Amino acid sequence: MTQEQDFKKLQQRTYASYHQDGLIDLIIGLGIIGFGLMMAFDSSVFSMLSWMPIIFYVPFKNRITVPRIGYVKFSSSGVRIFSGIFIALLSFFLLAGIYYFVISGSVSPELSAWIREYYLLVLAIIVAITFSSAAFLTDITRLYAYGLLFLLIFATGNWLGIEPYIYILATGIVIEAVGIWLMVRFLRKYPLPEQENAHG
Amino acid sequence: MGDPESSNEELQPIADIDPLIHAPTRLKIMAYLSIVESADFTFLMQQTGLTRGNLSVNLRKLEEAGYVSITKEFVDRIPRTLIRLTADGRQAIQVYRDNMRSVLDDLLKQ
Repeated sequence: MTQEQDFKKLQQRTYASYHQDGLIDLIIGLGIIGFGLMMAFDSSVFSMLSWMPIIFYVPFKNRITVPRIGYVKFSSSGVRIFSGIFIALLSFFLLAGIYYFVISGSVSPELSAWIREYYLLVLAIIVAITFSSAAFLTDITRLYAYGLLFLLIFATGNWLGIEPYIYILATGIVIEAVGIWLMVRFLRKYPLPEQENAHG
Repeated sequence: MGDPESSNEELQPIADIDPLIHAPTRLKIMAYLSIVESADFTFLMQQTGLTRGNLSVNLRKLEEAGYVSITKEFVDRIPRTLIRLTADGRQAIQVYRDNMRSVLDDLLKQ
C-alpha cells in the first residue's frame, strides 16, 4: 500500500470515526418518519419533522460528540463540498430525468405506465443510489446498508401491496433504531471526561 | 571497503529524514493533523491513543519547531485548545513523506 493510500485510509477512518455517534442516522430516520407520517395523515404539520432535525445536527454534535471525542474541522479543500454537490446533483438529475422521460413520452408507454405504477420503487432506487454514493464518498459504510434497506422494504411493501406510508415509516423506524443503538454504544464507549481532563 | 563518497551519497536520503517528525508519537500527531484542518486536544488524544502528558510534551516540541500552532479559545464558556499544522509543518510532513518514499524505494532496488 502506498503512502497516499495510507493517508487516504487514515482520513476516511478518522472521518467515519467522527460519525460513529449515530447522529446522522437519528436525523435521517426522523426525516423519513416525518415523511411517512405526512403521507399517513396527509398533513403538512409532519413535513416539518422531515427537515427540522437537520437544524439540531450542529448543536447536538457540539453537546454530545465534541465533549467526548473532541472537536475536529475536516479539510475544506473542496473534496467534501464536491461530494455533497455531486450527491445532490446525482439525485436531482435522476429524478428530473425520469420525470422528463415519463412526461415527454420519450419512453415506451409500457415503461411509462410501469414507472407511474411503481413510482415509489423508482424513488427507492434513486434513494439507494444516493445513499451508496454518500457511503462511497464518505466511507460511512452503513449508508450502503440503508440504501439496500430502502430497496428491500420498498420492494417487499410494493409486492405485498402494503400502504406506502407503512413501509416508509418502517424504513425510518429501522434507521432510527440503528441511530439509537449507535448513540447508546457511543455514550457508553466515551463517557463524559472530567472537565480538567478534557482540554490540554 | 566501498568508496566513502558514494556511500555518503547513498545514505543522503536517510540523512534528510527529519528526526523531529520521525519519532513515532510525533509522526502520529503530524499524520492526523495533516488530514484535517484543525483539531482540539481531546480529539488528538482519542485518535492517537497518547496520554495527556505525552501529547502535551510532543505538541510543545512540534510547536517550538514551528510545525504546529496551538491556540486557546472559548466555546460556550468552555476552553478549547485548537491545534493545526502551520505552512512549515505541512511542508515538513510532505518532505518527510517524499524522503521516506525515496529511502524505501532505494532499499527495494538493492
